[in-house]
This record gives sequence, structure tokens and C-alpha cells, in this order.
Amino acid sequence: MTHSLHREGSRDNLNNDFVMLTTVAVGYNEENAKEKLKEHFRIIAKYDPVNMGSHGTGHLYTCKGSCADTIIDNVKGKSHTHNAVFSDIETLGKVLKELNDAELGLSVIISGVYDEVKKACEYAGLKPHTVNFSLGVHGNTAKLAKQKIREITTMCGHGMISANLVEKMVADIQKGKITPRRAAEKLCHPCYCALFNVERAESLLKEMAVNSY
Amino acid sequence: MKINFEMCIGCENCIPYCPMGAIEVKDEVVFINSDECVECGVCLSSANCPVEAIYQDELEWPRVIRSQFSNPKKPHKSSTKRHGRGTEEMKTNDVTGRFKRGEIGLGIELGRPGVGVRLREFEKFTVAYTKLGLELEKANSAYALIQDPSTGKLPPEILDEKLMSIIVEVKFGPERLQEVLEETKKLAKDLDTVFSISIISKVEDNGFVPILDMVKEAGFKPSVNCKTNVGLGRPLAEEV
Repeated sequence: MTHSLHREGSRDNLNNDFVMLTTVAVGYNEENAKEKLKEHFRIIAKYDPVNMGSHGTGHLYTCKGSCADTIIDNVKGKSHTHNAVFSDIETLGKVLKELNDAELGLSVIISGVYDEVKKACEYAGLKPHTVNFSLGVHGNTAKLAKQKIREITTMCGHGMISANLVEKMVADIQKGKITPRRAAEKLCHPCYCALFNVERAESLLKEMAVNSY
Repeated sequence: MKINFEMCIGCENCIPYCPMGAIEVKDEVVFINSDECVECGVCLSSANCPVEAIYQDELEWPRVIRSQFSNPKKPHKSSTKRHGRGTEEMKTNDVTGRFKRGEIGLGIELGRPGVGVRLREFEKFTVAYTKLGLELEKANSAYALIQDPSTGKLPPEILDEKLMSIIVEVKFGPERLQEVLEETKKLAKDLDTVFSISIISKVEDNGFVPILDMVKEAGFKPSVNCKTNVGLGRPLAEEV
């Protein structure tokens, strides 16, 4: 599905938001999928991702103890995508290069600003193969939550993060009841697939708590 | 999803967690509006009810559709057996070759972001696209809901079911892009929800994406961010 597409935001704040999805092609290259997916997470973990995991493994903000190790242990095999989030293009380029060198044969998809992703591909010796662009939101748009709220809620493509919860977190930050970081982590919890960028959410929440939105 | 009234202490902590705003208070009783609830399970998994008063009741047909399309942890037991709302689409295109050079994939995700969708709105798209002669993607779990593939109609008893979102997937050649997007614009006018559009194509060897100019000509603005398959999958699909 398109759960990492349609992330809303300005070019500036999307420049710190790169989602990596890795998957086997069911029926084509499932052999040793479990070990390959574990190895791909071992590579990713070395680069201190903002988030990593899947709905089957848990993610960095739901697991207990040594999170990356727990997530790697929990990899079951071929089904669903295995995901990670990075906040800068340089790190993304390095991860892609190491994945390219590892020759795991898994499909890797990056969600992010296309011009930046192309640079990371070039660094890693790769060429974009296929793209999926969003053409925006249409229909009865009067029903949508406010734009700034959507910049946070659309980081979970399954729609698990409530606009009302974002508003409550902003109000609680304004009252001094919670820090922006803790609020971002609470918002991350319902996003099972590890696509939520806690660093970006923290930054957006700080901004929303000070300015009207 | 239900709240056990006898256990509930009325703290209202769960209310903001519901993505559909379906948890309400009436006469000091907190309850879930079952017509608006899409069975996504967020209240149960994330709201941390201090007395564990929230519970998942048994869902029967057709209500079970809500859970399958709204809760990413629930598989589509009666159709694809997969989790989620779509297919591998372009994610594995380097290996499957599902989208060949010149072919365009279109995904219409109804209800997204954060609004939800009744299946009668989804049916408007399946009927209209079928009338255009487009073939709906059979690997998508949504296809299993269609009662008559020749018309795109759904069974009447499921039309009022509300889901977090559902995706219509089609594929066609570039010569049909303007026509399909024009039809999509018409459908947007009378819709009681929102939808997000995604468009898929292979990248030229020089990094150029020809469909971007074509969608701009049709009056759409592509986002600056997108999903990029970086071509690491093996064995690589060969283009015939």
C-alpha cells in the first residue's frame, strides 16, 4: 500500500524526513528472507535511525530493553514491509551504499523529497527504478483537519494518529504538562509500522505550541 | 469496539485517541458510537485505559470489513490473507516488473487522511472506472468486495460500512491519463469524503519522470516528496 506516501509538509521540514521500506517480493525471492531482513536491520541499526521496525516486530518506541536487538530478534520472515526512518540525507546515502554492497536482493523503497533521494542514490551507486508520486488530497476537503496537524498525523499512513490527540498534546505542552519530545513519543505509539518520525514531530509540536496553527 | 459501562470510571482519557472521533460522552457515560467507529483498535492498543474497560467484541459480516481495512494488524482472512489496504504495487517493481516502461499506475485512497469512508463512496469509483473500461487490480483486498466485476457494484448490505480508508488501484497506458484524471475530478465533486491520489511510473535512465509533466497538464500538482524504488531487488525484472 501507500502508507509512507502522502506525508504532508513544507519542503524544509520534509528535508529531515526519509522513510526506508524494505520488502521481499512474494513469490519471487522469498528464500532466506528472514535472515536477509535481519541483516538489513543490523545494517540500519548501525546508523542510529530515528525509528525502525514493523508491525510484526514492534518499533523503537514500543519495545523494551535493547530495542534494536529485540526488533531484529522479532523478524519473522517474508510478510509485510520492514521500515526505518532517517532524518538526514547523508546518513540515508551511507545506509543505501552499505545495503547495495551487502547484495541482499531485497527491494528497498525510499519515501522523501525526490531531488534529495536522487542524491542519496547517486552516492550509493544506485539509479531510481520506479517512483510513486502523490497528487494531493481531493474531494470534500472541508472535512480535513488543519494543515499543521496533518503534517504530524500523515506520518502514519494507516491513519492511526488522531488529530484530536495532536491538539491535546499541543495544549498539554502549552500548559507545561508534557515536553515536546515526550508528546512526540506518545503520538508515535499508535503507529505500529515504525514510520513515524519522532524528531520531526517534536520539532513541529514545539512550533505549534508557540505559534497559532 | 466497546466500552464496558460497569468498569468505566469516566476519566475520558481515551477520547482524544480515536482517529474518527467516535468516542463520545452522553449523560456522563463514555461510549463508542458504533456507526462512526471503524474498528481500527487504536483505543484498545494505545489509550491505556486505567481499568481496561475497552474491549473488542466479536465482529460478524459485514461489520468485520471495518476491522480488516482499518486495523493494520488484522489480515483479510476471506480474500488476500494479507494485512493492510493495498498491494506491493511499485515497492517490488524492480523484481516483479508489474509496471513496465510507459505504463501508469493510479491509486485512489478514499478516506485518507483522517476522514474515513463509507463503502458507498468507494463504489462510485469502482463503477465509474469499470465504465471507462479500466481493469481494477485483483490483488488488492478491496477487489474481493466487488459483487459484479462487469459493473463494479458492491453488495448493497455493505454500502454503509465505514472504514479508515480503502484503495482503488488501476493501471493503464499514457494515452488514457487525461481521461482518467478528468473522470476522477468529476467524482471528487459530489463526494462525502476525501481521497489521496498516487501515481506510479518507471524512471527513465537519465532520472526523468515523464508522467510529472503530463499530470501537471491535467491540472494536478505532484508533491515534492515521493516513494522511490531504488532498484536493489534481485533478480531484476527484465523488460521485454
